[in-house]
Amino acid sequence: MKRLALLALAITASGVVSLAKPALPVSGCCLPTAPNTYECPEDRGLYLKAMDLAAFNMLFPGDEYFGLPRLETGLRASRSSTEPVIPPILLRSIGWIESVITQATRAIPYGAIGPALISFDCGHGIMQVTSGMTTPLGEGDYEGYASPEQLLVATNYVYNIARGAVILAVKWNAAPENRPIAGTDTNSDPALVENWYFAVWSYNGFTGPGAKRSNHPMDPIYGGWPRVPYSCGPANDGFGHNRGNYPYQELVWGCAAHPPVVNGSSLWSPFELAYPDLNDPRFRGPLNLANFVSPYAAMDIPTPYYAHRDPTDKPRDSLRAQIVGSPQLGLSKTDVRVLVGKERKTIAPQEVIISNQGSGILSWMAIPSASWLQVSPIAGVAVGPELPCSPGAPCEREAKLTLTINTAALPKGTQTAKVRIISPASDETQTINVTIASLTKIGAPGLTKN
Amino acid sequence: MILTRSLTRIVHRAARPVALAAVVAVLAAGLWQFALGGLLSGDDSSGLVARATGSPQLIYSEFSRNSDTIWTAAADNLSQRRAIATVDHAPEYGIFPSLSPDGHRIAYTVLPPDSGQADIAAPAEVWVMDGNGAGRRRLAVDADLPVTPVWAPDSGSLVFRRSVPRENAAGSFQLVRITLAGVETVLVDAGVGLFPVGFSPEGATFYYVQLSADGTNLGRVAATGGPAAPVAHLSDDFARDWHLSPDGTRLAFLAPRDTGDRVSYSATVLDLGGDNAALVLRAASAATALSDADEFNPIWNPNGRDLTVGRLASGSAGAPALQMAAAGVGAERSLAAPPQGFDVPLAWSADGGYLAVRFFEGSSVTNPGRSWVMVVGGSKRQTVAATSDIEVLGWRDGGG
Repeated sequence: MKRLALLALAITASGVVSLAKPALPVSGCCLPTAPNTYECPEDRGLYLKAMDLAAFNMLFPGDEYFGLPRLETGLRASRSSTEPVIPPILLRSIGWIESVITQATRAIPYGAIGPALISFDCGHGIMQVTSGMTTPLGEGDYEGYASPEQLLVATNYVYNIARGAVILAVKWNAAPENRPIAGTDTNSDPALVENWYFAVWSYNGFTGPGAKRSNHPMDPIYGGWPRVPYSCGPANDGFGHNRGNYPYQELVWGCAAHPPVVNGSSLWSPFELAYPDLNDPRFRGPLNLANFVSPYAAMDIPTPYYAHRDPTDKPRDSLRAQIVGSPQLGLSKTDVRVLVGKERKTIAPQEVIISNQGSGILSWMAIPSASWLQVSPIAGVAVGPELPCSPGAPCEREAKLTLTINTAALPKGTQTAKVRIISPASDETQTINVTIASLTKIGAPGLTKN
Repeated sequence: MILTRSLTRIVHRAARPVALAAVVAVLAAGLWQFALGGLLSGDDSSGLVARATGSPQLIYSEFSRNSDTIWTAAADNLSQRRAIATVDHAPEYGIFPSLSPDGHRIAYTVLPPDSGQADIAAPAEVWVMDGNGAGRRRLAVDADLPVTPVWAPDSGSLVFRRSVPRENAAGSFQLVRITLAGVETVLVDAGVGLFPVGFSPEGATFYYVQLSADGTNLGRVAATGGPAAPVAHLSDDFARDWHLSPDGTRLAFLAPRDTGDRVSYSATVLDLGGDNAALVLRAASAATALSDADEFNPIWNPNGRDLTVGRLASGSAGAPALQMAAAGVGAERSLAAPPQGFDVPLAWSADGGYLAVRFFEGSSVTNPGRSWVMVVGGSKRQTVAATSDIEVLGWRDGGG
């Protein structure tokens, strides 16, 4: 409950996500350093498939944290709920705006393993999930550490995308209590992409007019009027590309219509979306400056016309197994016994290899039981053999965990401690037992006993 | 960022040291522009100082994902442009530049490339450089990226915005004057959105706009700081695109106009000369004539008396910029019209011979279509060659 309460507070009190940025020091975030993650090949094929699965709630249905909630629909006074489906085009476009659909920092090539993308304000990965990622939320056995959910969001693109989709759905459901409704003439049907206008706006922050992250379409902070539509496509396509000139939802709308081109191919088919007609009083009136007052009840708008349904087919069930995989935790050893001399000045670091005996991405975190036992890195991934790596790219599928004994803090005598290796995706925990024993000379020279 | 990543991959994949060395050498020599397959054909990037041709020089910045280039091009031959400077910035977020009144300096806000903070809400920096790109230096930090700096008339100081955002609220805002020596003075401090408008001609008064639930209000403050004073209520809603007249006696801006079945922006002029500001163009009673038209960016003609505005009426094709008297009397004059779409005026050259416009190929505000920057001179329309988005800073005399 504490974790959930903190999470709820974080969602309420902050902008959900931030736009993309390369990894820098991550002080203040849930993990002290950027953990390794897997970056898929440049075509983003795996990521786009995961987005489709997330949109149809096929990744982790029913999961409290990674499963989509039912979506509210209807007018203010008559809300009901429906099966959760997010138009997949929105997740694709949001993913590109947030991170150019990359899970790792930009220094890492495609088809490789390396540090995760973490922004200055703790936005993590592809969907730049910020909410709930700013402080360690582990409790009980994880007190002081990242929670299993935080670990997964930071290190595993599947969970990152799933969580981003959940956040978008939560923003949808924030109406009507804390957000306006789009689609007053269409029963606020979530199958109409344009009805996600305020939810997408909120994904980046529902900040007030005049602010530098206003996102209000009439705000004079966004340069000249009118605005040429934004494009994620080629720089010379006649559309706009400088993101500073656009409210967030127009970035997403524009990227849907003018998709990014990678190696000569568009990442998706152009998907034109309608904008609110700002000459039409039915839209312009609710967007009046005076109406931007929480809980924004006067900002409800009809569906921007002409609205669109996303034609993306529901993925086949077998795709989930391919994307999520079936990770299995493997350790090169579970007992580490270190003999130390009387002086105890230094003790050589010990190494344990963490591997994935199954498939997919195994996200792990190491939690030592004693203060004199330090682990590095604290978290990371072990990657299954089926995930492609680019030739020559850094792609160590197994992780190397280094155990360091802090001799200054090490009590005298034989000491034992444990390192718990948790793998939340496979619901496994294994323990490395660490024993520090002293070398003591007794009896005849040459015979030792500890 | 895409380029950066691609280069990472190129370098990574370089199988032979020779190939790697070649890539590094090209980058080190700054020859990447030439590797873009002729995109800069016709450019002369080697010189930093614009060649004097006698024709006014258009100054504009051209966006690219990791850096923007500031160019100068003669109005009578836009294809021959010269690079003044290239400014690196955080991926996807370009600079917001401003040309000083004397044309000798350029200021801009920028998200630095090494900040790791490619987010419109991230702290930006204010930089200034000489008009030829030399002497570049950082003036201030913690600025708001999308608020373009406003120069004082003597080109010796400028005003930028600094703010702290808050969820579900506008945040807190400051308009800060900074000298070229880096001395800061907070001119206005408020809990609602503030925007700099401009200085009075002699530089003694600074005008600003603030947004609140009350609407858009114009205020003023002594340019040295002190108590702020309200000047006029511009709109109950979002007003925008405000421009002080050269003599400082009037303010042109766009105000929304709701006729019941249509809402549009129309050019409006406020007289600041008397004790009480008063509308002199498009007072409320004049709403009917423009009920089906949108107007855009009312800028002052070099003569200081007339306005140039863009106007798009429903169903019209090829809507040019229009010149009109600021007092709303007399005939309107159309500039050279596009065959389709509409023009939004950006900046007149000082001699009144050329007008930079942003041309949109579409037919409505909601669906404006693609856009290019063009220069209208007499009956001639020229497209400003570009490989991406353009922001016009203004014009410089062509004499040198």
